Amino acid sequence: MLNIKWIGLILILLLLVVLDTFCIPTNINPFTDFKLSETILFSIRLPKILTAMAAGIALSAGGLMLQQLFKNPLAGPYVLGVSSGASLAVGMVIIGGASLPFLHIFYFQSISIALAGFIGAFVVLLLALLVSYRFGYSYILLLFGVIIGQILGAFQTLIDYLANPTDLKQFSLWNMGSFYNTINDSLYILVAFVSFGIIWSFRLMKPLSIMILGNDVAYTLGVKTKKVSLQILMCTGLLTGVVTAFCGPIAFIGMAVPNVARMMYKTANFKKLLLFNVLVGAGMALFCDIIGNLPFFNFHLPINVSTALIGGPIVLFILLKRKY
Amino acid sequence: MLKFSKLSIQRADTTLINDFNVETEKGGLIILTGANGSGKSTLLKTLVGLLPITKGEIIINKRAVTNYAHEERARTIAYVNAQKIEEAYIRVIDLVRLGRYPYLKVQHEKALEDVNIAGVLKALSLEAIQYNYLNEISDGELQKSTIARALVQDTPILVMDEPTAFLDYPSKKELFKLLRAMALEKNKVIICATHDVELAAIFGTEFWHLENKLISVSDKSIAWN
Repeated sequence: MLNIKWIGLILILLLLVVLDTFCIPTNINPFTDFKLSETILFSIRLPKILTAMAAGIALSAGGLMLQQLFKNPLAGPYVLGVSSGASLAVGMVIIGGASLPFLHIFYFQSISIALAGFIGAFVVLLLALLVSYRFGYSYILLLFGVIIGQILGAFQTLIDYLANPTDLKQFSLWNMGSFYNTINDSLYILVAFVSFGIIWSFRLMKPLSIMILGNDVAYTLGVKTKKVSLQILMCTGLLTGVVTAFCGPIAFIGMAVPNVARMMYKTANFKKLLLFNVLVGAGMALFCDIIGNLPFFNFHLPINVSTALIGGPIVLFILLKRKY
Repeated sequence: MLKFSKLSIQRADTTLINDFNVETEKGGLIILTGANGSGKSTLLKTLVGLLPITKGEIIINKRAVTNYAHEERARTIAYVNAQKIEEAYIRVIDLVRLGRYPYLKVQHEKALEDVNIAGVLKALSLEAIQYNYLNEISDGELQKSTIARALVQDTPILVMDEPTAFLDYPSKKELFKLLRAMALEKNKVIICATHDVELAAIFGTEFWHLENKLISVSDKSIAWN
């Protein structure tokens, strides 16, 4: 039973990778036109696949950690305003930093964008933690996220308003989310940051699994709950911040995937749950890319359109099915 | 085994407990009573290390608790409160096994073998539902599972803050009976804050009543007289 789930998941994931590599948005056949296929494969398709998988992995891992930490199945990087925090910080660096010459040096711009995403995400997460300490793990936290998102959105609008038309268009497109903006250095940095964050998150899973007993009881079992909570926030900030920086604020993957994973693979072993969860996340991101690029659309949909169309109903289902 | 020496606890300039002295040499079921807001939970949280000591000392096995390392304390005192667990998709048995966490670093795999988990499940009549998921069991069963988790932690001292809140009468009686037996047979100090005074009066071996910042200690139930 257990193995069937893993094998099925891995097969589906492989199928999605192959489909997204060779057929989306148009078929390429490496056997007939090798030169053209090679170019498309290595400069467009593979970066896209890697980006989508890194984003799916990072967002679903971040979502799982936030849901467990805040004991709220509706928590997620987007809902809590974390993505908005990252967006604003990245916006300030891109638009404000354009005048700083050192930002144009190779690698430096990508790294500063990634760091800005991390800092923006982490600050909002820290505020969310303070709110949860004060009010408990309740709907207030979700409302906090919505309101913070609105406030940060207002600043974002202000930046948009002040930006020149070229920057504005780029910024708006970025806001809709895309797996196609990462090339060369930004792809390496994305993959490096996400790998580091994922290794870190695996190390946090054992204490996090004890914290299902409540923070007080977990503390009396030897878990340094405050330290672990802070590390969870930093790790989530890193994972979601860097993805938001390079792919835009992507909704629903972080919230929906952990719920699906938990329901499909019920376990108290959180390391296994995290692994299952990130594989579902990677698959979900690829699936959303495929849906957004189906040949008959004639153009590719922004990723947030497909994540909302697929993730939205899942989240609604969970919300309505929940016992209160 | 457990000694409170001139213990005082303050919360935000308000003294909740003043100059508490008591020494417990052998195992027993200590019943802690007191009105809502009198400071029962504060006392218990201070004992398990969740809140700081304002003045005085708590001494376990001749050493001040403040000198215990965090993990060592987890192998000495177990704590149960009435907070509900929101998790849905884990099994009762896995929840109970979490109690072995303080031993994982020192004993690794053996941590799960050297305590009688099956015996604890049987004693709390959780055997039949041990493979059920938490969203399939009742609030009372969930509470019994968290108590089983604390028993599996296998500590000489067990601190319980209203562990019977969600239980029906027969389960409450069963639980107090079990706690008393464990305290006396395995020489454990079990401190239990409760409002179920009638049952507690039957099964308790020592009674602490908290009123007006002072704790009176007796071997008979003295609550609410």
